[in-house]
Amino acid sequence: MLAEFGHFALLLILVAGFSQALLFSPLRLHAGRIVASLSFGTKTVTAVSGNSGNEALSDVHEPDTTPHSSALPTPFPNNLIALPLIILALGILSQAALIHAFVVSDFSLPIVADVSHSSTPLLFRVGAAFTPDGGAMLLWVLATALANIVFALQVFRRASNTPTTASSDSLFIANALSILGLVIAILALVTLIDADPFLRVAVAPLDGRGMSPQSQDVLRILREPVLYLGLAGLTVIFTVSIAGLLTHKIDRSFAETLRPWVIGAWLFLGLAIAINAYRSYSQQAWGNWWYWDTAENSLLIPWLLTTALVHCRAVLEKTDTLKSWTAFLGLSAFAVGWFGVYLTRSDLLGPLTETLSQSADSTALLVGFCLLFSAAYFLFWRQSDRMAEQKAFGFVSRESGMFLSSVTLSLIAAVILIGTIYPLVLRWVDGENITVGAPFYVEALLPVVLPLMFIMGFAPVLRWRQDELWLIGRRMKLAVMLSLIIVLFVSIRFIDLSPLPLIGIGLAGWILAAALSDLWARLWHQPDHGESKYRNLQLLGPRYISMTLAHIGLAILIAGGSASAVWEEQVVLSARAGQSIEVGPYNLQYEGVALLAGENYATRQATFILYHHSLPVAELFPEIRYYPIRGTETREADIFHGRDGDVHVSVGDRSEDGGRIVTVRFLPMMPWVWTGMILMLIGGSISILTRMFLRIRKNGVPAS
Amino acid sequence: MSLSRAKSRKRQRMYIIGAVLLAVAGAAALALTAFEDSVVFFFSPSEIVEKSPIDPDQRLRIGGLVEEGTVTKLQDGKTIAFVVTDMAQSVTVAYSGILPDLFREGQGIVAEGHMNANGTFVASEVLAKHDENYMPPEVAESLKKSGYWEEIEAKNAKQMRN
Repeated sequence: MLAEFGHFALLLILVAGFSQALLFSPLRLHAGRIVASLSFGTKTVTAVSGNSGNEALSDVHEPDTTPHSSALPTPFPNNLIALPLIILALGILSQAALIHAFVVSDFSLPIVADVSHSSTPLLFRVGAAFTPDGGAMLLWVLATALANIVFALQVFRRASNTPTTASSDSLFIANALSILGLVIAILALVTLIDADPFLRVAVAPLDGRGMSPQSQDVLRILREPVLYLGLAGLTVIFTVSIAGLLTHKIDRSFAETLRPWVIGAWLFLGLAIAINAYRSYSQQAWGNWWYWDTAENSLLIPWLLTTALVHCRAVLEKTDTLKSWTAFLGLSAFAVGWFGVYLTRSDLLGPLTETLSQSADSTALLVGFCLLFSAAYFLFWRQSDRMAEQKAFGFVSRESGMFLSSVTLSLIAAVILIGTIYPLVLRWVDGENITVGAPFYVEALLPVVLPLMFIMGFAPVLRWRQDELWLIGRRMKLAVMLSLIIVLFVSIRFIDLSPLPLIGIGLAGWILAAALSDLWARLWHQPDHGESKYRNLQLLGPRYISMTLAHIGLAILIAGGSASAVWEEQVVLSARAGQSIEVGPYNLQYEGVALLAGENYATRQATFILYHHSLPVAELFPEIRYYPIRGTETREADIFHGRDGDVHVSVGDRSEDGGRIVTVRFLPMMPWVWTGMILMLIGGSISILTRMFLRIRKNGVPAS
Repeated sequence: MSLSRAKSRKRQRMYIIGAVLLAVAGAAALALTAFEDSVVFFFSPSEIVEKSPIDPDQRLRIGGLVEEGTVTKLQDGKTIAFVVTDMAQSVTVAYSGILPDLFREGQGIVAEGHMNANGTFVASEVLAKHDENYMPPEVAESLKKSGYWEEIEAKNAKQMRN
C-alpha cells in the first residue's frame, strides 16, 4: 500500500516539477507583466500562482510555509519556498516508501525481489534500495529536490535581504528555479519510464534473489547518496548558468551565487571518487585503487570539469572575465555527469561494472539527455557572444594561469571521455572489440598532465591582471631549488628508476614546494602585518588555506600513486599454518583459517600476525565469504596502513599441496594516496564550512 | 564605440572558437596517437587459432567459457591452467595469482595477457566481474558467432530453474 503512495508521490513530483517550471518560467512572467499592466495588480497574480501550486498537491502534503516576503517589484511568485518544499517532501515520501518496501521485504515489487532477500541484514536491505536502476534514479530525484530547496532558500534569503531587487535579478532567480523544476520533472519522468521502482507483480515470489554479494558493502552503499548529491550540485550549476545566459547576467554576483554549489559539487564528486577508489582497493581483492573503468571514468570526468569550474569561477568573481567559458563549463559539467550515469547504467560497455547485471532499459535517460543538453548548448551558442568581456588581462597573470589550467583540465576530461566511448563507437562501426586500459590513459594524458602540474606550481603566486616573468622567477626560486633537490635525491637514491615515476615524484615535489614556499612567504615575510604570526595566519583567509590544502593534497596523492606503483612488492605463495612470509620491511605470519558464520554468509577467515622488526604490530583477517543465496564467493582483503606503506593481504583457495594460496602485497607510500585525497576533501570542506560558519556568526555578512 | 564593441565581440568569438578547436584537436591527436599502440583487442578462441602464431608482445584479451574439468594447478603450486573455449576451438590459459570471485567452470570469463611461443595464453589478469548468470557481452558475441549460443543459453536457463 505504501509503495502505491510512493508511486503517486513520484507522479506528483513530475507534476510539481512541471508546475515549478511553468510558475517561474519567463513566459508566465511576461504574461504576468501584461496582466499587471492591465491594472489587475500584482497581488492577484501571486495569489493565483500560490493557489495553483497548492491545489494540485494539497491532498498529499500541507505546505507549512507562510509566504512572508512582501510583494516584489516585478510580478514574482512570492512563495519561492513552497513549491520546492512540496517537491522535497514528495521526494522523501517516495524514497521512504521504497526503503520501507525493502525493510519489510515486500517481494511483490520486482525491484525488491531482484536485489534483496529476507535474510539480508537490515542495513544492507536499506542500502539495496539504492543499487538497482530505479532506486538510484529515485535517489537522484531526491538529491535534486534537496538541492532545489537549498537553492530556493539561498536566493530567497538574498531577495529578502536586499528589498530593492532589480527586475533582472528576480528574472534570473525565476529562470533558474524554473529550469530546476524542469530538470526535476524530466528526472521523475525518466524514472517512471525507464525503471519504475514501484511496479508490482500479481504473484509475489516466495523470497528474493538476494543482494549482489559484491554490493554488500558499506562503502558501496555510501557511494550512491554521495554521488547523487554531487550530481544535484551540478544540476544547480547547470540551471544557474542557463539562467545567467538567458538574462545576460553572468557577472560577479552570478559567480557569488555559484560559489557554494561549485565547491559542494566538487567535494561530493571527489568524495564519491575516493570512496570508489578505496572500495576497489579493499573490497574485491583486486588490490588496485584505480582501474580506468567506466564507473570510475564517469565520476572522474565531471569531477575534472568541476575542478576547472572552481578555478575559472574564482576568476569570474574576482575580475569579471572568462564569462562564456564559465558558462560553458557549467553546462558541460552536468552534461558529462548525466552522460556518465547513462554510460554506467546502460549495458553498452561490456562486463565492466556490476550494476550491469540486469540489462536495463535506459532509453528515456538518453532521450532526456539529448533534449535537455541540445537545448542548453543551442542557447549557449546563441547567447555566449553577447557576454562581452569588459576587461582584458595580460598573458602573464593569475587570470591567464587559471584559464590555462581550466582548459588543460577540460582537455584531460575530453581525452578520458574519448577513451571511454571509443570502444563503443568502434564496436558499433565495425564490430571489433577492443579494450582501452591504463596504458592508453597514461600515454595520452601524460603530455597534458605534466604542463598542468607545472602551471599548478606557480599559478597561485601570480598577480592578478598583469605580472612580470622575472618577478615570478624571484618568487619561485625557493620552490625550484627544493623540487630539484627532491628529484636529485630520488634519482640518486634509486638509481635505476625509470624516468616516468621520477617525473611524477619531481612534479609532486614541485607543487608541494611551491605551495609551502608561498605559505612560508605569506606567514613570515609579510612586513605589513607584523602584529603576530597568528594574525598573519588569520589574514590568509579560508580560500587561500583551502586552495593550498587541495594543491598539497594532490601533490601527495601523485607522489604516493607513482611511488606505490613502482616499488610495489608482491608475493604469491601457498602458505601453511605457522609459515612466515617476508614482504618489504614486514614479516607476516600465517596462523590458519577459521570457519565462521556471518550475518547472511559463511566466511573462511584467515588470521595473519604482522611483525615489524620482530615486534607484532597488527592482526589481519582477510576472508573468503560465501553467500548461499546467490551461491557466490567474495574475497575481502585486509589492509594494514603503516607509516611506510600498506600491507595488503588476501587469501585464495586451498592449493594442491595442502597450503592456502596467499597474496601479500607491500605498497610503499600508499597511505600518501589516501592522505592526499583526504587533504583535498578537507580543503574543499574548509572553503564551504568557514563560509557557513562566518555567515551564521556575522549574521549575513558574506565571508571574504 | 558600438563598432569597436562589435569588433571586440567578434574577436572574442574568434578566440573562443580557436581555443575550442585547439582543445578538441589536441585531445583527438593525443587520443589517436595513444590508441595506436595501447589498445587491447579482444579475440575469441577461434580467432586466436585462426590468427596464430600471434606476436608474443601484443597484449590481447581472450574470452570464452571455462571448459568443465580443465582447471588444474601446475607443479609450482600457484599457476593455474584452464581451457577457454567458444565450443568450436579452445585455448589453454595459464594464470598465476588469485582467481576472481566469480570464476567457475562452465562460466564465461575474459582474460588479458599475451600468447607465448607454444600456443598457451599467459594471462596477467582474469576478469569475471559479472553476475553469476550473466555473460560478458564479448563472450556472448563470440559464442553466437561459433553457433553454440542457444545451447549454452538453454543450459543456463535450466540451471536457474533448479
